[in-house]
Amino acid sequence: MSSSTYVQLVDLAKHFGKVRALDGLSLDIAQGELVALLGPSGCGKTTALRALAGLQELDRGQLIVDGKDVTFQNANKRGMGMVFQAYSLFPHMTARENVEYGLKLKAHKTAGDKRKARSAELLDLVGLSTHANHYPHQLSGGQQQRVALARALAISPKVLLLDEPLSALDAKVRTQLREEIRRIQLELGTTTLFVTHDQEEALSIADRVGVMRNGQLEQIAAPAELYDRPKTSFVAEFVGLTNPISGKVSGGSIEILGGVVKTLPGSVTSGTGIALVRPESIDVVASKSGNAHVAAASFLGASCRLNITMNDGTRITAQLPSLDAAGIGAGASVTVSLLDMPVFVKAAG
Amino acid sequence: MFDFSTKPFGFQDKGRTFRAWQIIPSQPDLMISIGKSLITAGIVMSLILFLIVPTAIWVHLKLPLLRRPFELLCLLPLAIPAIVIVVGIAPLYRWISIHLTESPITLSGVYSMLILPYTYRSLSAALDAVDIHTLAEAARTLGANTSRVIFGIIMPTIKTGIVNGSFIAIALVMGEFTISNILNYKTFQVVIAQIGRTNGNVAVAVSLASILFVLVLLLAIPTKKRQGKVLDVDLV
Amino acid sequence: MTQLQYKGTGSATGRTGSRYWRSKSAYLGVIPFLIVSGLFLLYPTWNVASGAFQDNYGKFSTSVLKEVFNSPVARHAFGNSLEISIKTAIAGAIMGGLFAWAIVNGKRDGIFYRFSVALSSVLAQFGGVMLTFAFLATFGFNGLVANIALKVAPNTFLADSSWLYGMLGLSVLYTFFQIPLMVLVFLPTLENLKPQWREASDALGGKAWEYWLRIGIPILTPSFAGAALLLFVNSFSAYATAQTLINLSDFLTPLEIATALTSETGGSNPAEAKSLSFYMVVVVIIAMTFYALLRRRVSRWEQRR
Repeated sequence: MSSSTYVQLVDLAKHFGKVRALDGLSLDIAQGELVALLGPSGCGKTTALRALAGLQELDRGQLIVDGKDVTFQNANKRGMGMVFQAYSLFPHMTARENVEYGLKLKAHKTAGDKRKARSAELLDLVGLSTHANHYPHQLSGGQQQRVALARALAISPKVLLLDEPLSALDAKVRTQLREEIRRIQLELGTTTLFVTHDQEEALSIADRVGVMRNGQLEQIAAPAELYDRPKTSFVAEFVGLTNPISGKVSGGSIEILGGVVKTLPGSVTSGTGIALVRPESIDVVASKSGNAHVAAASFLGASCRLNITMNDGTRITAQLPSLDAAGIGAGASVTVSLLDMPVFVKAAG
Repeated sequence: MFDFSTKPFGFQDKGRTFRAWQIIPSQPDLMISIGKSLITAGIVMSLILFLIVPTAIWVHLKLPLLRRPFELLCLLPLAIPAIVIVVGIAPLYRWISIHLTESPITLSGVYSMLILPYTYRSLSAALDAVDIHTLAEAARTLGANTSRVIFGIIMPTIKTGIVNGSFIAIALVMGEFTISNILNYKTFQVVIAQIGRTNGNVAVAVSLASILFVLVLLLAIPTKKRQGKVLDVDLV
Repeated sequence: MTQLQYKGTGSATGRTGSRYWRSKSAYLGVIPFLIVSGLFLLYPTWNVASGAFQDNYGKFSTSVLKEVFNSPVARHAFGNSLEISIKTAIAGAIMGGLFAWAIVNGKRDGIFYRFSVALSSVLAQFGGVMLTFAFLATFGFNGLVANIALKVAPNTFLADSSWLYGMLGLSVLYTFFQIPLMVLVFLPTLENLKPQWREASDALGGKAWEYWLRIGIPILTPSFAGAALLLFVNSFSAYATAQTLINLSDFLTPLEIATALTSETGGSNPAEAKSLSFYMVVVVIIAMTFYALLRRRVSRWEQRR
């Protein structure tokens, strides 16, 4: 536990009927850090977030914020800012009034001028100064979420909680807004917990990403480490694309694609295993008598994705920078080899 | 809740007996009126299924300009209470009684107009939820003709809206009093009122029985997984 | 409309005829409906509207309208109608609202919920006659409660059933069948009260009363008022209950209209009935206009882009 740990989730458990939404989840968040909780629906990430907010009761566990145990504290005393997935703006208030709401409450009572200044400052921060007097139904989805963010930040929360804030938005808006959220979070230095099922979202903005499954944390690490060195097959397959290629494992290595590659800790150690190979770890070179040929090629702009069939029938997907893939199209004969990156190997069958 | 517990089960003097209930089947007026009202309900439902719903679908699909006027027409009965309608329609029914038939079944005409707002509301919610233009085009390209499109494709899709609307129709027909009373037709409610003047217990027994019957009917209708209302009386 | 004269070339069915007529032909589809609604809806409406401005001989005149306007009997009835409608609308709205609240807080798919909604739907249509008899059997002369009260508390109003047959009794009855209608109309509104609002308010530090004061009540009020207006119209237009309970022909406007139309003594006075109806409709239209405005405001809030 580092000295700058600000939020601690300790051994959280919660069940709904027969389903164990949380099954012994423990997690630390450092001050000023943005941690993303990533996982498929039903993995418990939202439950954990809501428990931290005080909107969900726990069967077991502790919640510690800034040294204080808040496990049994009411939601309205925790001083957390929460942004919901949708529909959370008060429809009968303008954007500005929404943002000012927290400051009108007894908990954060602020005088008129200071309140107006604060709401103006926040609306400016999220880029909506010109829409201050608009009602939620006059704003687009992305704009509404910005207001929701401003509203949550208005009370200078100890922790910012975001419950899949971008899931209901269009793809383009999503990308834009997630970067803004990150920018604002860094600027203000707010400790943040961000829940999402979109791995690209989590990887792109978080300091650390925690992958959850069935109420438990599979792995928590910085994005790059999660991607390059997954600790379980679930993490390996959930984050990024993988090619499952089977081969023989022995002595910390696996034989695939005509080469030998080291296996990551946690992999199967002997017998036949299935290596989870990243598309960009596969090297493809055009050659007259190679060990494979290209079934289809997709041009993605900066990179190219090639569907390749090996001579032994194995089908894999490789990804190359477009420059390197020049001239390699459908039907081309190629030689496929592995870059020297360790892979995670899961059990066969 | 509603103090139906205080409604006596038709008791005579001391103690409760079911005598009042037993008399029910032997009241000829009552039985006849129930039968006629049920037939009327049936006709009203047919009018809904074969006239109102298809017209609503037709307007939605083909005549967007008429949508607003159609909606206003369907909501007109909200602004005109039954008592006012009966004033205006009395001459028409006099004519019908004389030249066509005296049967109360003819009331189905005016009844179908009375339920227009409710039916329309159920319908339009369903029609909005489903993109019937796309459905119709898909069906057309596959070779369906117009009536197939309406009756075979779109109506099943908006089934729930239709069922809700139909149910309200039954309730309205069985429960209507104002128009039939003033025009002197012997419908279910009118007969109950008549009986009630002489024999209150029977009237109460009948009332309770019919409410229970309709209630059971309604509970038996499966309701779809709602995100909102079962019967939406939210008008306009 | 377009003036294209399209002589059927390229038409898949081989039909000839200009495109203009083809598009117009779609309008034929509404003719059956127009016939039925014309007969049973438009005709009576027109009959009343125009008849109000005629005298009993069919000539245009506002004399009957003026006569009705000035008649003390008509005014008294109208006043009673308005009074009972307003009172029962408010009472019904409050009680129905509380009921709806109780229902919403229960399980959404549970038996209590479905039963309550079903019961309300049935009662909202059936009201009138049956409810009246139920009350009579309970509180009227020789009714269940009245008999018990006679023995137990002979001096209270429960033992003396005459209250039932006047304004008070009628108001109680009306309120009773307003409640199911209120439940039906208001329940969707309560269901639309998004839990996220309460949660957002909580997360921002708000206490329960702050939520209700600033969020809950302001959001519910327009719908509540709209529902109350619907109740008002419902009460104002009601006929069955009054007719079954009270036989006074001049107590409420609907009763007056019925008498004017069907009077056995001295012949009916359709012009008077139509004039009275006209005034009724004016009141109803005013109320419905306000209702529509309120609904529009609420639905704007519910809009999402």
